[in-house]
Amino acid sequence: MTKQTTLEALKKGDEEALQEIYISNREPFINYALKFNLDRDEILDVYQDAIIALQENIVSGKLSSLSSSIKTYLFGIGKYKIYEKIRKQSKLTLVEENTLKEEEYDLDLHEDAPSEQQILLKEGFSMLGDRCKRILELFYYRGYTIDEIRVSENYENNNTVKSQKSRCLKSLRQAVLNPTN
Amino acid sequence: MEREELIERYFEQKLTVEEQAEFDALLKNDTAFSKEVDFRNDVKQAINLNKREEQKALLQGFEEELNNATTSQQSTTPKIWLVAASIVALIAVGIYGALQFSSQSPDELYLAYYEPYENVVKPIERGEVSEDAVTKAFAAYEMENYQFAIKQFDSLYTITNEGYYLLYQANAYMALDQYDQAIPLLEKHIALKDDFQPKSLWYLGLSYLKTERADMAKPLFELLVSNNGYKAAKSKEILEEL
Repeated sequence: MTKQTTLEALKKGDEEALQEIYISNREPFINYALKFNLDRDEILDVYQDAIIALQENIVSGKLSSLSSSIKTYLFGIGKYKIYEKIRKQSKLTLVEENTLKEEEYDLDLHEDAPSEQQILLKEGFSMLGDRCKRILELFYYRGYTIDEIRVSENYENNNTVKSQKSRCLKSLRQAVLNPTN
Repeated sequence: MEREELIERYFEQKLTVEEQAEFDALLKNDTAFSKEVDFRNDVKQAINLNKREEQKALLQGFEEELNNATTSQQSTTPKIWLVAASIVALIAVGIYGALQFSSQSPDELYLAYYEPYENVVKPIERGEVSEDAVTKAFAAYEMENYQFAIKQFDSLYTITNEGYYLLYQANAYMALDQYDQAIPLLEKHIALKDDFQPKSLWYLGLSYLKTERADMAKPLFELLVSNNGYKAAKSKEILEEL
């Protein structure tokens, strides 16, 4: 698979492409990360988070083409996450200086901890019906437009997409208001 | 343009310059509008979080597949070894009796799983001239000069109050088979609840195994499994053996 087709497959959420990327970079990443004195479980945890961040950036459109290889990009994210982990664990200045620039990789890794409302919404979302999950995920996660959703999900017209979407948002609003229900 | 339409086009990233100006003005001056935009942004973030959890589970599934593949590879070792192994096993059964053969003893489990916790605090460059107390302590630890390391970690903890020195001191005691010294240090460290806590839970569990207190080790490994982080997989393996 070429770099561009891999990116496109990952954007579509193709699990086989994801697995291929996961397996082909796994051993090199473990070997690379071992020099930071993390144990294997910790390295795999970081590696998985890096893969997730990679895919998130592709899906959100932040990353549509790459001047470097996918591996370089993935390792860039991974390295950043390793530093973050070590910093959290030891609260000590690292012996090796962190030379990674977020902008170089278009990374947006500094994220605030989720708010209470976001956590409630997450719970609420997981309890929605499949149709609601699907339409909200396409719109807010995959960045589909109303037009694209109509076509891919066989809705009659744009208005039905919109009203379905607003019904689903209403359910979520209720989930936040009555978290126990 | 209607407000709903504006918000929709904002998320579709399709606002024109004029629409963007209208959107920004509303955001600034209209509380109901800005609240609604905040809510939708929270929805977006909540879906992201949900997706991350799903993805994490998927990747852990890949990992499990890989592990299963390696285990089945190991089980296809040449038959001659199987024959040899069963002869050895038969002798073992004859000598030790069926009971002891059926599962690994806590002591054997300890040997299978124990290795001193790596130095993640102060990486030592080979040939580095050791100057400060921290470097000295970890250099001694890495060189397996545990007696000296114990003394150093002890005074470092007194001076800095950093909990991880207790973990390393306990590990040094464990390496010297002095579990009665190690256990109280690990317990003290666990009570501090710092980021290294799971490591001490693991080593306390191993110390209990080694000192034939499997019943006390079990809840610790169970906790590590339910935290699903540090040594979760290994703890699960141990629990299956116990």
